[in-house]
Amino acid sequence: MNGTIPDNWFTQLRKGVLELCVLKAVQSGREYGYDIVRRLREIRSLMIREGTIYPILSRLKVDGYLDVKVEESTEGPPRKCYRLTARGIRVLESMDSHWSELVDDIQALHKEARS
Amino acid sequence: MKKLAPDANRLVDGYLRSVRMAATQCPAIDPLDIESDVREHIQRAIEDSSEPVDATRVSQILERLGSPLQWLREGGETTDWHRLAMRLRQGPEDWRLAYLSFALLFAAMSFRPMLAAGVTGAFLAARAAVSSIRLRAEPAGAQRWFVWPALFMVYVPLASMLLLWPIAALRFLADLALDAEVLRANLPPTLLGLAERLYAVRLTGFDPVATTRALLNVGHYFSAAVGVWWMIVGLLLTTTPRVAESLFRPFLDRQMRRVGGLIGVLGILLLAFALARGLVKVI
Repeated sequence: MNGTIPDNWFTQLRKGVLELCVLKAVQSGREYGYDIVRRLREIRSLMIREGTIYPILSRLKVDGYLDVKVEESTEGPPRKCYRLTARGIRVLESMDSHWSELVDDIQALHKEARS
Repeated sequence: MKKLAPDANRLVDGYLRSVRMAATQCPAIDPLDIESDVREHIQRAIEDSSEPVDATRVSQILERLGSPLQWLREGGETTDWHRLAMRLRQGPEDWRLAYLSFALLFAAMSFRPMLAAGVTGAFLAARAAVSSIRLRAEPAGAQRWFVWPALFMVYVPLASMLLLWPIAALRFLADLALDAEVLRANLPPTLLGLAERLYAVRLTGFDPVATTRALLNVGHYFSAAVGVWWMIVGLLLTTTPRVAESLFRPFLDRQMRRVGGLIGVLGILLLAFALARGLVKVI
């Protein structure tokens, strides 16, 4: 962790982007929870614990953005497969659009500050 | 499903318990969902491990998962109050009983009507905490600062009473002898005089000088009574220390024999003093 970044700022930023990251991880189709965790763990800049993803998946399901299909498995407990609902797709599109706007605006601020 | 070694199973059960407890504090999430996700995660993570999967491997997986309190905080699922409630319910080191003991003692000290019930409850919680620590074979560590106050509040008066009751008993007998007309009439003069002198040992009108003088007058009788009693106590503690150890746990564990020896020796000295004083008076 960069010692010059205030912890609270990083914590708040991470809270804000995690839902977007989880929805994006599921965007391509049905994904198992474990595979979503593995993908997001590879984003080193997020610096999350693996378990952090599961409450977010649960909340997104309760909010109606994800639906879950349970697949029986011969090798272990049933596996849960997550997929975006129609509502989830709309919310992701809004989040994506807002995120792009935010990134552009911050880039603009950055350029202004440099010049 | 991969088989887990018994200690690995215990680790997983403990972890899932903490997951359930954490998840029930957050209304926005479904605790059953989280639990089944975590079970699935653990099974997927050990897919490539050989059976039975040992505790070290499971520990690594749980370490990467993180504590439920941490993930809920990272994901913004908890408020400070939820985290505090979780902390009180879960640890560190399962300190719930220690917290309860301290809280009850504080309430007992702060609210007079609660004194008796509060101290009793605090003591029982403290004893339960001591038993729990012993079962886990761990040192008490900083928990002792929450647990010991309640124990001291009961042990110190109890030990004082057990060691010094002969003084109160003598005083009571003197009182009885002087109050009962029949006894007063039939007591030999020597004993009547003794009873009167014993009776004089009291804080009448808060006069410490009079009380001290009275005490010096009959101090050797108290000394003899306490000395004899302490010799008996010393003998009991050295021959059967377990009873006293279990009564005053966790203090003086495995040291009761030594303490018994010390009390016995002091008893002998007190009795010797009493006899010497008595002999001097006779001479």
